[in-house]
Amino acid sequence: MTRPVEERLRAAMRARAGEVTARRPQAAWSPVPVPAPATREKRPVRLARWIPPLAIAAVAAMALAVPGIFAARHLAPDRLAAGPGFSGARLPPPPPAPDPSSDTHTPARAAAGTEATAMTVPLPAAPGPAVAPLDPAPRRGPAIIAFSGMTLDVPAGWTFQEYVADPGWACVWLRSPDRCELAFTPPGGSGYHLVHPDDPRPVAAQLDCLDISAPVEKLAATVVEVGGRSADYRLWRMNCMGVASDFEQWTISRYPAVKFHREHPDPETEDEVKTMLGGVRFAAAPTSDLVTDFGFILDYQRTPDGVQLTVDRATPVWRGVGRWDFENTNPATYRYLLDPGTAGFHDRAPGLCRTADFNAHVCEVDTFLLRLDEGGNRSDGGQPISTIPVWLNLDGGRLVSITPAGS
Amino acid sequence: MEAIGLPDQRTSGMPVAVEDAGEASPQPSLAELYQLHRLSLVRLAVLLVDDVASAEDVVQDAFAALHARWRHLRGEAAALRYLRVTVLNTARSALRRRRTARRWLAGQRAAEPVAGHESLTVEQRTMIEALARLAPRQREVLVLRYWLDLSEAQIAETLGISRGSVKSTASRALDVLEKLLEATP
Repeated sequence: MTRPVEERLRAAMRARAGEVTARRPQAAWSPVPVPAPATREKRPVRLARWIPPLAIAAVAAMALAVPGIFAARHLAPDRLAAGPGFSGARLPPPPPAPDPSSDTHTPARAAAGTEATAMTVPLPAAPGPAVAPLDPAPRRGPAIIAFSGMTLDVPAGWTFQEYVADPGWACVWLRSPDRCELAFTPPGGSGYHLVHPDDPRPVAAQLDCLDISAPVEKLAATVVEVGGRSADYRLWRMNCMGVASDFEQWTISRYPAVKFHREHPDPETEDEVKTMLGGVRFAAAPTSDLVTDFGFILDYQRTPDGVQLTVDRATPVWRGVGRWDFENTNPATYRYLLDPGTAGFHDRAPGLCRTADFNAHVCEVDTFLLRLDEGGNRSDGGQPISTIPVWLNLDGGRLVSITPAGS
Repeated sequence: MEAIGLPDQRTSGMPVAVEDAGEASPQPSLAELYQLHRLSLVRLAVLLVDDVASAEDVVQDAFAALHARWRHLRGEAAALRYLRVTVLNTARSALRRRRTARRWLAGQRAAEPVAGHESLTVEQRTMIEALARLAPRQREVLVLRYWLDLSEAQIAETLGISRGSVKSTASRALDVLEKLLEATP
């Protein structure tokens, strides 16, 4: 039997915790996958006197250097920050737009200038500045603001902010930085920002929304125009700690791609937010190149242009971190050419190259193709590749990395 | 475009074999964990310490500790359990340090007002202040139970105590809370 004080306590905790908002941290320490030592070092029974100061100095150095990695990656204007699940490849200037109605994504162009392979782990040890970077100063409207290959018309009274801790992530607010009215999420970023219309992250991915049985619910799905381009609109409902809240999402999933979120649909600001959204302009010409896809790799063939993978596209259904369902009603298959610079993929359970291993490792392309050949009789005992849902990350229409869903 | 026959496993829509189930969950990167869970952990910590800045410090420390153990944790669920326990322990240490500091500062200058609470109702503020007056273990049990909605077994595992202790601690904590609220004008 519930005591009255319990409900009052719950309500007070919700209110108190709700005072901590999604304002992004001024990263005093923002972890990137800094490789940990491969083997555990033996710890002496008693620490020498010089060890604690040294350890403190090392932690301080890491705190200063790691955000620098973010900054170094963020400040390179023509480079999207890499992370798990995205190649970090330099995006070439787009060619004239091919026919966007084509459903078969045989690449129309090479990823000229691509300098990175699809090896997403570990991150390159980019040099960082000696001091922790700060977020750029907020910019107040009225102003036309250029960022991440877009321009945005920020009206009077509104403020725009980019965040170093989360490269490319930006938000526009009216009253308080704690209440972002419109958020911009480019591909790459922190690694889980896959610009896919049926991925409700990062808004839905909050811990207090994860320990629940109720999944995020898709209330509406349609195609609308944003900034003169076609965008997939989704209205989501999430249920966190018994509190239902809706948020809106617009995804332009073809290069130049971006995802917009309106986390707090507020009638008072709706008109201005939607005017801003409609006024977004992209520096690069639109293309038909998806930046991400989701589905199953059925087989491959070697062509004069390289290895071409056949993909059965599916719709991802997010159930929380590391938990994906899928719907698969579309019988069509799609073909993607593997980028010649791709040497391997970031592999995790359930294992593209070797049987389930919960430590990340690299799946080399040759081994991956061998597993595809082996079908249901994988020599490592793993499940058939064609039954593993994967995220496909694309650059210039070419496949640059594959990540098992849930990673 | 060509149609290809689909194996049953790909059309069933059943959850794939990557469920976040205990040790079997896949291991995300540290950056992903940070991005996904920092905010929620700060929200947890702010219920254990009394200001947001300390809560943020507690969570930063927890992630720093996680980094040191990264190789030894298998799966996201294990990492989250570790983070949660570290937040609890670090919050307890932070409060202990603060009590020491306040004792030392007593008489030198007036205590600083507790930050935050601006958006709470009077009742909510009273409740949070009463929560802060509980013994650390009582407060932890209530926060885990009513904020994270953990089961008694999960709380027992997190705090390293028996299920019976969880039950009795929670019951006593609610009693104390009620008395504190009654005593508040």
